[in-house]
Amino acid sequence: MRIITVAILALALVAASYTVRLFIRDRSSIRATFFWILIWLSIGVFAAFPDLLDFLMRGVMMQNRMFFLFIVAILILYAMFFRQSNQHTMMKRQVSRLAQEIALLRATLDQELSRHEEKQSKQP
Amino acid sequence: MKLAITLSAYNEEKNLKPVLEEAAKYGEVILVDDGSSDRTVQLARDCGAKVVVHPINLGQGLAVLTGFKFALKQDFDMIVEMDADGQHDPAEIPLFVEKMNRTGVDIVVGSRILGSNYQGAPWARRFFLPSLTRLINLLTGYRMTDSMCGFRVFKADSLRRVMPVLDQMLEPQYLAAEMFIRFSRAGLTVAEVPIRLKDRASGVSTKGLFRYGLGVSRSILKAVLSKKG
Repeated sequence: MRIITVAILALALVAASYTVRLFIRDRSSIRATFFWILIWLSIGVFAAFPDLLDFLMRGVMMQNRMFFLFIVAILILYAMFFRQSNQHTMMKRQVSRLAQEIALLRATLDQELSRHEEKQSKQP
Repeated sequence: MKLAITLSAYNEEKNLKPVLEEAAKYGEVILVDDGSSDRTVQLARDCGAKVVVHPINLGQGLAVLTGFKFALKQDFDMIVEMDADGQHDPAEIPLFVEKMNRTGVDIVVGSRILGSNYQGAPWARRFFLPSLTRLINLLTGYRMTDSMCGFRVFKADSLRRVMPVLDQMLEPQYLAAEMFIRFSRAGLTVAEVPIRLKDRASGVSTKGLFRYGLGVSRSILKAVLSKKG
């Protein structure tokens, strides 16, 4: 086994265990944990069995291993960016609605309090 | 006739006082503070306005909607929407009310174009305003001359009816265009009154014309594509 293969395998292992640790510490969702473990696992498998990469490459009619890896990485990043930006929009909208609700509740409460105080002051 | 006058403000301490004092002559004033960092809230409270405070800056459109929601929780017959920067004259509110009572429409919109001092407006406004209004007229079937004016009066019952739909707006920061598209789908009727636009007493508007035009166009597109209300 070449040194570079060992290094990539070690890196994938460390990254996967770090991902699991993040999940245990409740700093990552189960969905994100699965996704990243799958990524690290794929990296490890392709490092150990580069022929598998060649097999997949030929399946999509590509000849350059680096080019294939770049395309796959870019596609994954695009998909992640798309999902994140959708989530960001939804969260922004939810935060706005929440802020609006807080403002309205606070104003209603203030109004009720001042009404109550007014009533109290009128009582003998 | 109970009138709520809703104003939305963001760091308007320099312009606010005369507007609130004048507006209070015509109805109950509700000020929505959109996360100001100056003394806007304190000033409004001192002037006797009911104040709703956004904990963070949400943009003018959402501030307007907050004002509507707060006013609709109470027993008002009409709801006025106007700017807090002093460009709209509260003394013109009776013109809106009179028009609404006379025509029976659901919304009365102020028109700067029909107003007597429009010729002095900057060229960009004179170009963009009628163009956007023509587009909105085309999409809604209304015959307005100035759809972007933020001085409007609504019948409370009509506004209550469309509020769930307005609450779902996709680009609330560019309220006007999308709002009229939703209103036309709900079958609400619109009339206009000429208004005079005053200069801001202090400060500059935070709306860049190009950015605003782009935002309005985007909100029109989204409203047209949206099937909801």
